[in-house]
Amino acid sequence: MTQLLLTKEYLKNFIGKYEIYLKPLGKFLLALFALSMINSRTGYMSRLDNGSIVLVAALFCSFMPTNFIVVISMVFVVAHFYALSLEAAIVIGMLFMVMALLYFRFAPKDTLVVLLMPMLFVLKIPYVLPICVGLYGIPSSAVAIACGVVAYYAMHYVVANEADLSAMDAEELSARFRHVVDGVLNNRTMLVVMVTFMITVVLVYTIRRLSINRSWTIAIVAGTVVQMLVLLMGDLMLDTDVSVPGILIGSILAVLIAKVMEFLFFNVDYSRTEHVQFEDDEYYYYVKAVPKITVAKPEKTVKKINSASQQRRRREHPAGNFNEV
Amino acid sequence: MINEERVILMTRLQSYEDHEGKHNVAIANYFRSDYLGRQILRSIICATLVTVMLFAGYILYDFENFMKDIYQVDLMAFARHILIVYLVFVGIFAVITYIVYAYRYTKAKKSLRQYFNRLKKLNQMYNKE
Repeated sequence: MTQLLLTKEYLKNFIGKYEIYLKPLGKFLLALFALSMINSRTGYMSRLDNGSIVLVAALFCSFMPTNFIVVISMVFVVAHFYALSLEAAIVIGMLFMVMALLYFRFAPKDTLVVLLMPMLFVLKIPYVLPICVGLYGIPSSAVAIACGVVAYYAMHYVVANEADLSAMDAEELSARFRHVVDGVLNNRTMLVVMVTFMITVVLVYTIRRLSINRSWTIAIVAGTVVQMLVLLMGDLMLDTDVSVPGILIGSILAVLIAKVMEFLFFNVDYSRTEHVQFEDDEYYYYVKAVPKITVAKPEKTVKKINSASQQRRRREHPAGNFNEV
Repeated sequence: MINEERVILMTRLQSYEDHEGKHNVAIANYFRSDYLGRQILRSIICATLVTVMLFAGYILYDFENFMKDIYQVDLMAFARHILIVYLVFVGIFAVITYIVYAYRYTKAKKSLRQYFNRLKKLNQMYNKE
């Protein structure tokens, strides 16, 4: 445990020291990963499905604000869908615009969730994000989670029906548009997952804020269990096509990742909790203070064993100085 | 000699100015009514754009029937219906905007008040020396 705490301290110091370089590097890697994922999953526009374009776009993202990664990813997605079908591009583009104008105008910091959610769906661990958002965010972030789920399922629908969409060339524009809208909106799995994730965010946030010992651990476990149960109930009631082993494995991974996050950001020692009570002119204060677990970084002392004798020899040498070997 | 307490206070003040403070100062530069009015106006523009997009989507979704029925429907009643939906939507969105930004304005002002108190404390430290 002490070794882990020491590693955490070193990590904190390292990030603090090189933050100026690590931040752009992080943005670059995120953009590179996101755009490569978009290209590998869609890749309908051959001009965009090019490593050098992705690299240039990721480099550009590295010195722009974080939300720019989301904007450029949305542009990539719409451009790829445009190459597949104009109607798919219109529907997805409209969806992104509605999200941006109605929600992300209020909470621009939540925009990254819309990017991370589809990425985690592709990596088969979407269950971790509602728990992390509940731990570090606010209840209104549940809307961002819902937007992320809708974005993923809308894109997933288009990708899954690419053959249908490209084969409908002869039909009317209106009929093709209707086909895409119906497919995106009449998705029961999307509805179940969206509601479940929103419940999870609010539940985790509520438990995490309680003044009880181990509130973060309880919030993580309760959030994961409720998430699993609601998803399974939704599957039974609405006959959605969620994978049960996928939910179980994904949830276990979610707990592990959330516990690592807890260790990094909320590591406290409940055995040394103090309850203090005092008052001022206006209030009585009942304070519960829980100390953080910290370890002092071991100081490295460099002892120069022969420095004194070397200096004496340097003084005594007839030339006044000599080269050390 | 370096006054450690003063250096800590100055570091905190600078950190606030560089991060949260920058945003709060931008908010506090406005009078409350101006700030809220500006945000509500922006929300009305956003809501109008969304309504136009959704209306276009609605027409495109059922384009054949819409064109078939266009000469049979009461266009005035249809326009009135659309206008009412638009006004309700914009109204709800404006109310939400008012609540959110009024809260943010109050919070920013409170935070800046604390910041100015710390600045005063720093000034007192200098005066003492």
